[in-house]
Amino acid sequence: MTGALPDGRIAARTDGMRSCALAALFLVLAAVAVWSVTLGTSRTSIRDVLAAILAFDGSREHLVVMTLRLPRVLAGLLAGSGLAVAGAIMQAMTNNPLASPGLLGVNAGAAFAVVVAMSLLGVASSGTHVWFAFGGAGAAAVIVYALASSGRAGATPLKLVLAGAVLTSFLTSLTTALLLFDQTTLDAVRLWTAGSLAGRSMQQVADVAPYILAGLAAALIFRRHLMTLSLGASAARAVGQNPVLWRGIAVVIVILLAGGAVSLAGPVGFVGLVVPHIARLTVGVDYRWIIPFGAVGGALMVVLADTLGRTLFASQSFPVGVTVALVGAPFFIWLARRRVDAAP
Amino acid sequence: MRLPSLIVILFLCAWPALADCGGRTIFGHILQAPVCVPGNPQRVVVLDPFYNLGMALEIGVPVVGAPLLTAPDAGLRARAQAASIVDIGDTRQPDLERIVALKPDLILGDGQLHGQFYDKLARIAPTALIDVADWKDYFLTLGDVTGRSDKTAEALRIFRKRASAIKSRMPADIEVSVIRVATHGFHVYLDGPAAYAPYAVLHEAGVKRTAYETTGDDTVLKRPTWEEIAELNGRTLLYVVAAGNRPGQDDELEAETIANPLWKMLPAVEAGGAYRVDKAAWFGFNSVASAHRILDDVERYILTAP
Amino acid sequence: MIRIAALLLLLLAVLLASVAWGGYTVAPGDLLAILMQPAGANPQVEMIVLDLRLPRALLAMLVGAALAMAGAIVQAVMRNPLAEPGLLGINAGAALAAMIVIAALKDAPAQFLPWASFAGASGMAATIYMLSRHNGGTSSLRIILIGIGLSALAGAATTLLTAFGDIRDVQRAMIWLAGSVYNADWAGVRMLALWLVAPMAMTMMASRQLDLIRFGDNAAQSLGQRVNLVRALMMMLCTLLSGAAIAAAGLIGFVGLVAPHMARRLIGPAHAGLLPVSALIGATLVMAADFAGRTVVAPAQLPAGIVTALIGAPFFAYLLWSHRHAAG
Repeated sequence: MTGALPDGRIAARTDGMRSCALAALFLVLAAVAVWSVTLGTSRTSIRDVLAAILAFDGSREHLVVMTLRLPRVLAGLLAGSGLAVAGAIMQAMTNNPLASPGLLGVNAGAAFAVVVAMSLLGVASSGTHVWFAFGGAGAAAVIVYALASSGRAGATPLKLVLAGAVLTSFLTSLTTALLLFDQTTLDAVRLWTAGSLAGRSMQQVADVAPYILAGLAAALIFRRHLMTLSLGASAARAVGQNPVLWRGIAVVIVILLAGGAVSLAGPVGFVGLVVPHIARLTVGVDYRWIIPFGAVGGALMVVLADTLGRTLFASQSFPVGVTVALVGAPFFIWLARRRVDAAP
Repeated sequence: MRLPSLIVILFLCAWPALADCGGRTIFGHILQAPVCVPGNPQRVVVLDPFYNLGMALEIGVPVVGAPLLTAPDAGLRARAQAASIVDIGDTRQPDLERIVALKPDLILGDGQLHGQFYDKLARIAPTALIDVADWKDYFLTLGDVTGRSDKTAEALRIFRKRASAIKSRMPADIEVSVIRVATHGFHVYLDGPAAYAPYAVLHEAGVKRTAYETTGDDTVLKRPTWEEIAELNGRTLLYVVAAGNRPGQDDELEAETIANPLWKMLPAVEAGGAYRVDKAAWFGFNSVASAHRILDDVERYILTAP
Repeated sequence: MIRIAALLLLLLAVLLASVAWGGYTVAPGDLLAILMQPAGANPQVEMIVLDLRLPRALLAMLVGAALAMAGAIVQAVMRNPLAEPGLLGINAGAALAAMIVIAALKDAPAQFLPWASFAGASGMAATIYMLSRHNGGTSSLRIILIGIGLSALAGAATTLLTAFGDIRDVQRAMIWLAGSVYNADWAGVRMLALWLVAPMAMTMMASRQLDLIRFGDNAAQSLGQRVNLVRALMMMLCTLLSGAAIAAAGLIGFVGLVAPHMARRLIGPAHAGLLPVSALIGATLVMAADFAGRTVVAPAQLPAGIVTALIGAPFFAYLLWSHRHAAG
């Protein structure tokens, strides 16, 4: 889209400007992350935080920083960037602005697996739940992809979207059915299903981080191919790309990113859907920029939302899924009003 | 001149309606009062597996149907099954056909949960949906509705006597913290005007809670993080573990929780005054017997503390 | 034509089954006696059939038909196969209003709930529409995006109430949110039927407009359609249909998405046929779901909103798989 936009503010059209903007956003993210670690029931100075990381002495303050706040912030960073990039890939792959990682059944699969673990299998440790969530997410995505890619045409956007919607509805209903009859599990899982970073341990973060980081790296390395994918199957073939292979690769990356994110933060629905749109509305439709901006923006959104929830509503374990929507939705609505033309 | 005769006429018209009630008319603490209930109900269906079922069984009400499917207290469910009570499903949507088939002469329910179905239920049998917050008032109303007021009054008298005896023996300076451990966090039920029943019992027994756990408004519970549980600095700590219904789930969660260094730093844990209490009464309070179990825990862990 | 006849027969069969079976099997003779001559039958059985089962089945039919039609409208207007009435924020607005009534305004009478949820649904749809008007017109994409944003906001507020409400309120709300015709009665059935007549008739009359708008704004305009006006009208009809269904039975989510797709495979995309066939499929689906939900795991009652997805999803998956070689 060329020409002056109605408010002409954020249009970063040249690559140079975009790189600067990305770097600036990254610095903001780092600052917010550090600030978030210092906040809690008691304020901890940055020096104490560094001392806790580098010279751990087992005192209560250091324990709080290393076992509670730092893992939580790291989990927020990983989950946010994972969800945003997974959402961008989903929207490219299905060419549908309604697509989100949840479309592949990732959120529904994770929630179902966790509820089954708690309610039917009697698993109580939250560390094990993380693996159940990851496994459920992955299994659901594989089933959706397999169903969608049956037949000659392979996984066309329409079939992918429909297959995902079908499995998501099915699993969500099954999960609700289980929760309706088990009040104890409902009570325990209520906050998690809204998306929550509470209680993440360093061990859980370290377990899941390699997968998310691998997914992010793959998304960055292959971003040109992902952009070609977004142009559609015929355009892709014209450029020499094998759509079946690259769709498969894209699904694997989404599983790594979104599966990892949902196992750390529970089903957070808003980030994966909306951050790619925000990125698109500010830096244009080039996926080579959407993916990095999405990663940083998503991380920023989740960490900011979680910090606000933690500090403004102490003693209530505010789910990050709620704060993210409360903070991000008004901004998103404003953007959609201003920047979407009455297109054909 | 005309007004008094109008009143007399209205009264005479209403008289048959009032006199129509063959049993008792209940006026207080139930929905759609006044409701006419049978004087000596023989086939009672209860719609709530907590207060209704527990309290009804306690005072010997002839219950024929109850929602056993989702009754979380296994002991209560076993007693109901032993008494050949028919399962009518889930408390929020009980199976109306089964209720009809049981031919009840009284239906007992909870105002909050079942108010929306009152019309349907009233067509099957006289329906009393109790709507009151305090558990003791609930108990008394239940006794009134089922014609067993003498039993409820007696049971409460015994309870109150015991609670005030414990209160008189309570050391003045001791502070007690109570926390519920669940899989995704802690729940701390507060001591206040809207306190959940077990914690209202604690208050009546004179147990003093920490400042963090006391409130003057309607807040029922707080959800502290691992960082915030340091505020529970009572000398004695009682903790309830409620992870799920499968065997071993609670123990697994307890082991994971008490191994955490932040738990070990709690004042009560360091002083050796942390005790696990059984979740049946603290999590699924359902009768005066539950209240007595809470008093048992108070005697066992608080009164005999060093 | 044969397919339509088969569909009608299926609907009647499910209706009959709903009335005859349950915790108590009613023999055909008794059934006839009750329907013909209410005075002489066994009072228990009469109460079960006339007061409990028949209103439930009829309400389920009406709700299913309304949701399916609303789904067909929204899929045409949004030109997106993923679209369902919830996209216009209807579900989120209704859910939020219901949660507020159940959790925050506990003393409100039960009759208040349907009106509140309808108000929530309409309010939300109107807000989305007004916010998506910019530079004089609307666009499908903008409506979709703003719908997503506002639904997320409403969803967050609902989750807030769910996460921090009293657990019993939450469970009551969950049942309502899961969608159920448990509390059906004759007054409700009459009211819903009256309410739905006008919107359904108007939708049928607008079949050709729906066909046109599917081709895109420019194409439709060049064929003489006043696109913005039609879009606004269609959104309003969809809100009326869907909002009324939600007010009567809570959120039953799968039908609006899937019934139009199934109808399209049976009868093709022209809306003159698509609309009534979708309605038939929706009606059968919800009625069957309610019947299954109350008999399969008796005495537990699975809300119809859950069962529609449980039986609809595998069936739809089978449809997808059996048409896998078809284009798109």
